[in-house]
Amino acid sequence: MSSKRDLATNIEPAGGRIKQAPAEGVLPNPAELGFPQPAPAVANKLALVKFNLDSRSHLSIKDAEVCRRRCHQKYCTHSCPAQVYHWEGEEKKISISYEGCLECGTCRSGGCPYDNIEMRYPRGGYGVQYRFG
Amino acid sequence: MNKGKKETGTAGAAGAAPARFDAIVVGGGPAGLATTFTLARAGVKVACLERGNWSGSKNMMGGVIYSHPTAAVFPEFWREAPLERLVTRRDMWFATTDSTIKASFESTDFGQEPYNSFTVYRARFDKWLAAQAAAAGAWMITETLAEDLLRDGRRVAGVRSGRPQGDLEADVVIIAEGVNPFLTEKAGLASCPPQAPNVALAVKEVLALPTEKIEDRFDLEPGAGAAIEIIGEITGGLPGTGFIYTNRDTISIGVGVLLNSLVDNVTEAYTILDKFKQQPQLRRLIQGASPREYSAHLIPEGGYRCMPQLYGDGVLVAGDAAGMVNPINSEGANLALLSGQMAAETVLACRREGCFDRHALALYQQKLEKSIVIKDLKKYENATPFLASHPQLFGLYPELMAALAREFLTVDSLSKANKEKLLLRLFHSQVPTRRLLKDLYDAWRSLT
Repeated sequence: MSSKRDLATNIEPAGGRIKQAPAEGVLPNPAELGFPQPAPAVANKLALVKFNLDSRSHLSIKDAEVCRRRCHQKYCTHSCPAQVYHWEGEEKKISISYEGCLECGTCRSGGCPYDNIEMRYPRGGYGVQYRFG
Repeated sequence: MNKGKKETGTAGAAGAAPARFDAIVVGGGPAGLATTFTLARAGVKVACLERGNWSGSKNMMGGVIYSHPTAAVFPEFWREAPLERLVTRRDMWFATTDSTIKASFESTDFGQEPYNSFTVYRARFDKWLAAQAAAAGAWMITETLAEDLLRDGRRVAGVRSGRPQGDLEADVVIIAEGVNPFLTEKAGLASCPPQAPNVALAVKEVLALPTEKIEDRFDLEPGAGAAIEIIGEITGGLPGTGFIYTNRDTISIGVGVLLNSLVDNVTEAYTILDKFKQQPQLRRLIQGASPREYSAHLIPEGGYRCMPQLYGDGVLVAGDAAGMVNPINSEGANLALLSGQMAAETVLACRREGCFDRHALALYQQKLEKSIVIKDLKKYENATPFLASHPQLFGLYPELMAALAREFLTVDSLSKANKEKLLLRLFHSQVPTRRLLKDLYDAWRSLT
């Protein structure tokens, strides 16, 4: 677990896995569910955003080996404006907090220079729900 | 023909909707809704698919909508649409980490009908546009993701939605899916790969501040608004701009930076935004404001060179999906609205002929070529490569302008003659004459 992540919240991280599928419905803040949380700067911003949480991820890494061996900078952990991607140093893999995804498309448009992220839109009705936009 | 205006669809009415339409529009943003509204008003049986809970719930922009192109599709929209402020002042700031040079244009003329521009929240404005389309008889099918295109040989024959039994057939599909062109790629119409350097990433915060404070701080008449574009060190020297727009009781503040430069510099957009908010002259404007929302969106800045094929058999592409953004003037929603309207006019003309193959739909391209959409995109086709390859425009030059202004305005023991020498020497030390001439030449070549 990176030091950035340790600062994230005082909530026990769930290790990047959903242990129990959350009820589908409007949830103002994924932080309350104990999902792995991004660093405070973004966490504070994301806490203001309304999400209609889906129980399945619309984001995935195509080939974990690329993250492990080729990508030294772990670009997605910086390029994603919602800091959805985290490098898990111990497990040597990228974990994905898809719940806070703003669906901008950065990760499929060069945010991962190795084009190693499969991004789809969430199912209709799910995902970010801007009140202002 | 759809004679029954009472057929008006409501959110999530897909179950009850017939599976065949005259036209299907993918995406309920300015482009898609301009098409949907124009077609519905002409009596065409049209459905608009929107993946959000309502049109606008996925949409974000800095905040200015231009009146003229909007009114061309939605006449006198300002009487009813949810607008924030009537923009009477446009500023351009050159900002370093501690100083600012401000160029400001203000006009009472902007305050007269038909006005020039308004600040809006897209989550509310697009919702209103969708309501106009629904009232005109269109089926607004929300919470529905268009996952794929249906084919009949080469022809696009409809849309596969994410709903059970979600295939919807149509004579023509108008793709107005926005900056992430999933369907445009599936249709084989995309020309540039989705990877950078064709996009900018914009992040924005909406900050709440009482109305009087906004009007005092920005020196505004009641209900009037300011739109401020900011260039300089505040984007960390990366090719991009910052912006501040005033709303009724909030301020929209954000930055947009070319994604490839962000990636190359391993910099986070929100880090740039947070630094931007700390710049002293900016901080003063937003002091005490409380954050209400954070948002992020891509802007297609590939321009004319990256535009997809705009038409095919049974299919048209409009708005951001078609790369219709003018990055120099920060225009996009206006081009989206106009392209959406021209897509609708093309469909109406093709309906009279009863043919929707690519030869018939080529009319769309002809209309666009004659309009500001393609004319402006062509004019600035070299803009993004120019800006990307001249980062000094965003770092060195504003920095230097501020340094010269500071020195010029500082009264000290230096005589004016020596001051002049010092200023020239300062400038030449940073920008040799050859470099300056080359930059000017490049700018002239790329932007005129």
